[in-house]
Amino acid sequence: MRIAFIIIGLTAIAVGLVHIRRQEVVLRHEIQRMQSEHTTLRRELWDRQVRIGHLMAPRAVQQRSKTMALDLTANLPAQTGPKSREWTFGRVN
Amino acid sequence: MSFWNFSFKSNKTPADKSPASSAAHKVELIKPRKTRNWKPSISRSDIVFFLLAAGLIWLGAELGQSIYRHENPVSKDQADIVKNVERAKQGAKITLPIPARPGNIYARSRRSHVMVAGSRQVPSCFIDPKLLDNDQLADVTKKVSKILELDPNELLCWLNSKRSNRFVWVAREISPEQAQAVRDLKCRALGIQYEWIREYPNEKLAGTIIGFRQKDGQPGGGLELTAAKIISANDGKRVVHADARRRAIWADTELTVPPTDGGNVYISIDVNIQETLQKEVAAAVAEFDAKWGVGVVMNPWTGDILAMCSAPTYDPNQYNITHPSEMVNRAIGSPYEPGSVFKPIMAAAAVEDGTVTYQTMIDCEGGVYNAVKGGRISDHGNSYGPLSLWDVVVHSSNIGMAKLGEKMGNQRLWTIAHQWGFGQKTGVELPGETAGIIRKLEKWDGYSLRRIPFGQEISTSALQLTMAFSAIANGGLLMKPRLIQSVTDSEGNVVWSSKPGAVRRVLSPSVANQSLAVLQDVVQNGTGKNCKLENWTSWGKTGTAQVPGPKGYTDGAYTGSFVGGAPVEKPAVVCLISIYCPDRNIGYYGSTVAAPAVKRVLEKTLTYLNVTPDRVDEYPRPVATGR
Repeated sequence: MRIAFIIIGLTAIAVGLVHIRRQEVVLRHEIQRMQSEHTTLRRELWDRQVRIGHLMAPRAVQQRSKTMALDLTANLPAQTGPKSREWTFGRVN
Repeated sequence: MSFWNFSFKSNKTPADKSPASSAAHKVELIKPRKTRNWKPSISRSDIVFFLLAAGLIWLGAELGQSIYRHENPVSKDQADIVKNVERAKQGAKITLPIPARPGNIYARSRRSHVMVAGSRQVPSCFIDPKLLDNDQLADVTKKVSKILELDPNELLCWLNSKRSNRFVWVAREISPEQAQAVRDLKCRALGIQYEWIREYPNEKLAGTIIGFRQKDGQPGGGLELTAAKIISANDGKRVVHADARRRAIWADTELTVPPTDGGNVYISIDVNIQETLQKEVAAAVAEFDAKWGVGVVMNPWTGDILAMCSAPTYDPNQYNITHPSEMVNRAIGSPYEPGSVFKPIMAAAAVEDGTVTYQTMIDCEGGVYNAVKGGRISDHGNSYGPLSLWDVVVHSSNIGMAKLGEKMGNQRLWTIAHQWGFGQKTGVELPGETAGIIRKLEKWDGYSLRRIPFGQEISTSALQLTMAFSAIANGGLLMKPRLIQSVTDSEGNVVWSSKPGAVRRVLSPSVANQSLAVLQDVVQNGTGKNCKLENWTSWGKTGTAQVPGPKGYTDGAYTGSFVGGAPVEKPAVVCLISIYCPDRNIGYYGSTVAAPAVKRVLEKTLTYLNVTPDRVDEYPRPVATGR
């Protein structure tokens, strides 16, 4: 009877160990997958940051406003002088 | 009953009294209570225990032996075994880099920051031709060329010529979609490798300030070089266990080293002002067929460099096809004689010194002055009689300034020049800054005494001049130029930020205000009329300097400069533009080549910065008591 208990106990320990080991492998695999995905996402982030940089460049903005026929006007403060004039980006109206 | 407690039965009886029986009698004394047959009484659990113990001893012995063999390989075979085991263990592991990005550089824009230098990784496709036979290579080439939009025949020829190589680039800098399509081919001879590229989205904008990075990541100039330590990143690494085909299975997390991205640098340059300045300077250089031109726009109160350029300039994305002369930031790296723009500085310093006031009369000798041991000085065709120092500056009289120099003496002039920051580096965070050229005091003679006050025999950088005029504009404080405003870590937390700092006070506020009024008069009534703004009051000074050569001044070569600011009440910006060696037949005076450009830059900048217009009808009469 005692032997049966010992064998069952040892078997349970063995099964537990195998299970823990398996879980560890699965988790490490998951970590590896997530690390790869993290790197991919970081790459995408960097790519988009640079792309935004391209879009925000003054020359690109000017080009787009020209293409889209946007009449960009500077927000002039209230004039104290007698004259007023409107500024379009880079040229006088 | 214990396993060791064996018992046995003797055949001898107590009646046996022989001497030999005495020993037997002793045995009898330890005889157990029960007498049995001579056999061990072992239970089943004893056997199990025995077997387990034996197994344990055996395992221990094996372990001990293997440890001993590992540490003391006795034979070559055993050593080889150990080596191979180690190799196998290493082979099952792959160390992969975790890329860390170098920091970005951001410039100011109206409401946010704009990236002016940034890094990203791009995929490139390579092939190992040795892994494929001829038919397979042809087949793969056909598929790959379709994905990468390449000519299949050309690619096949290329790969056939590299048949013995184990690594051949098929295409570099491909799109992520193309990279995925290549992966989907599941061809083990094909691979994707990521490469870093540094991009400058604004192209030529502020190219000389930002500098560039070479393909290998080494900084090549500008801020890239100065801030290299901040920007640089440290790659991380991860160790993964791989299968026989080197595919990562799971991560050895204990050996993972996280990457450290580089810090980001935020600079004071405003991309919109920079764009305006760069365009105007380039236009002036082109219009007057000049060798080069420089421009600086500065906030005089903080010393922030809002824009700085030299023309011709270059696109850092194409540094490898640019002539080195175009990469020079001439605004800090090319000293030149300032000419008449130096006059207001010397005049203001003389007034501050108490040597003269702006109302002190100076005889301008009718246009020609033959100084004793000082050579001949003229006012370029103008004949002025006695003028106040105020008018000497407004009408830019060389003779008047030469006589001011005589009043001050060489020692005083030399001290003033150094106090105002000439002959020493400003300390701007850029490489290649010049200190300018001021000869040693011992070498100054009668010529120096009379010429330095009107900007000859001294060379300065455009930035030094702008700093000096900023001191006049802000009430007399010579500021430190500021380019790097703050540094953040990769998460965006500010780790360092700079504060405006003054080098020293060079003028009292009252003298600075007087000097500003004089400069306003220059624009209103003097040589700087081309810089009259429509909506703001402005001040400024022209300068037309001869260009020195190996044997005196070069005939027909000039530097036309204009430095100005607006509004007069509280100048928001100071702008300097200098055009070096313009075509004399087209124009070379500072008022012609530089003043109109400064005017346009000031107008656009003030509009952009929402500075309230302050010009009412006509310019207010400058305060000039006793003039």
